[in-house]
Amino acid sequence: MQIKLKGNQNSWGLVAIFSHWIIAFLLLIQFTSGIRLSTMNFSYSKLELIDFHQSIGSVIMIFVFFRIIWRFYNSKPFNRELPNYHLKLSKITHLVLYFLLFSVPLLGLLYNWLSDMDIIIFGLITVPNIIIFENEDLADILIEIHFYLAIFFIFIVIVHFFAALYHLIIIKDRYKIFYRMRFKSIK
Amino acid sequence: MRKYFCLTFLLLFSYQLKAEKTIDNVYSQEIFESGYISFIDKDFKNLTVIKELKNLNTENKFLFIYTPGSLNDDRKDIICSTYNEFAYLNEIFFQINQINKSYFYLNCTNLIEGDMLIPNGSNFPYIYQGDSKHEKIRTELLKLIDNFNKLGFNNEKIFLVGHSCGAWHSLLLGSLHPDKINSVIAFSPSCYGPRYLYFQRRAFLKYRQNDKNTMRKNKYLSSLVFVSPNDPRENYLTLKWLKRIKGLKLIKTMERKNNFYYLNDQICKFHSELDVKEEPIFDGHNLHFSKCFDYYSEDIIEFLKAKFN
Repeated sequence: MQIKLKGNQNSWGLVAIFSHWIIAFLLLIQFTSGIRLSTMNFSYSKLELIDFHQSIGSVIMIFVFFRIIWRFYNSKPFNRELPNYHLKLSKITHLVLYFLLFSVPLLGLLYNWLSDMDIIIFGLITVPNIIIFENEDLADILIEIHFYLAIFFIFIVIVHFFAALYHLIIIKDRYKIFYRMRFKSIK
Repeated sequence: MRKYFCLTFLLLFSYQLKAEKTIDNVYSQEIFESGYISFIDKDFKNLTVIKELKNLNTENKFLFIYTPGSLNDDRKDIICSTYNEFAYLNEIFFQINQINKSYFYLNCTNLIEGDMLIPNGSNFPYIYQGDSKHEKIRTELLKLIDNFNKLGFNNEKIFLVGHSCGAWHSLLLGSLHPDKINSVIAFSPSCYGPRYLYFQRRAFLKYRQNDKNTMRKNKYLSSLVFVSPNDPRENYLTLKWLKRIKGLKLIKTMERKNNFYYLNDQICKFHSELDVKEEPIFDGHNLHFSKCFDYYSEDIIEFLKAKFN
């Protein structure tokens, strides 16, 4: 059976699967470049890396926005055999993940706007500044929150990752959790 | 035996011949003390720095105080400036001198140090106790202006010129005491480090914010500011707010292409400190060291002509 764009009982659907793995890949880039940026001293390469970090961040933000809309439209896979505490834990982590996926890039964006700097996506498109007033003190607080939330984000992603591995390896994917996010269909 | 003697003599002689050719080394010498920059013609080879002038004639003459940048955040610098900094700036000075006879004073800030002696690049989270190097630079500059007032220079005849940290403090002093000077010419103003170094130097950036706010409160500041679009310290994006100050003319200098700066398809070069050869400029921060800056000399002269009258 082929996987359709929209999800069903056994699969998330191609759109959700694609956006999940693309965001996962982009997040990996964001985490590594963000950690590198926080320790890097000033140079031309830091400026270039900032531009790169901002571009990838804005692409993630667009994807997440699209993903949330799609989640309401999409029909979700469901497994009745799954224990209740699994369901609750996964719901909490997913909620936190969605919150962080949206808030961390937003804080970065607000930092740039409040300190009156432009974001240029891959040197092509300039993101217009919506906020008219400028407040660098507030921007400094926001970037501090951006940093600590991102570290918390890494922790949550690791939890998500190990939960998936637990399902795949330890309980041999008894509840077909891991296979829902794969491009291969289940027989 | 004689052969070997001859050979050694020849070698020594040839070495001397080569050494004579590298007499240009003088012009990349370092400057340690402040003084008047004097020159005979456009050629930078005839440039000297004189500590004190005997016959200072202040009648109808303008004074340009050049403040160079500083290398250390809060400690002493070994050198004040180098001759290569004025290698091509000299040509602009010569043109200014032709319009109206004027004096050029180099204001060294290398011997100034802060009370806390904070090491370079440190991120100190506490409040500064005493006076920092930056505050002292400003008070020294103010004292210097007062001294020149006593020598006979009117407030309207004093111009502040600066590079990097010197430019930043010249602009700040101009906005704090607009009645004490005529106008300011700033080459790539930047101090305390760039805004995006937030996680590396929080405390220094607080000073930057205070300075920025005092500059912005000022409604009018007659000045000419040159900013490189891709300077890693402060660039055209981080200094956007300067545009909103009236009387301030912000000029965006040339863009960086493939790690170099080009004017009419030729790489911009400057006299390096170690070698006599000219080396290409990698850093837009030091663009006014190079011959390319002639392109903007018209802007400076036009600006000054309006101020001279």
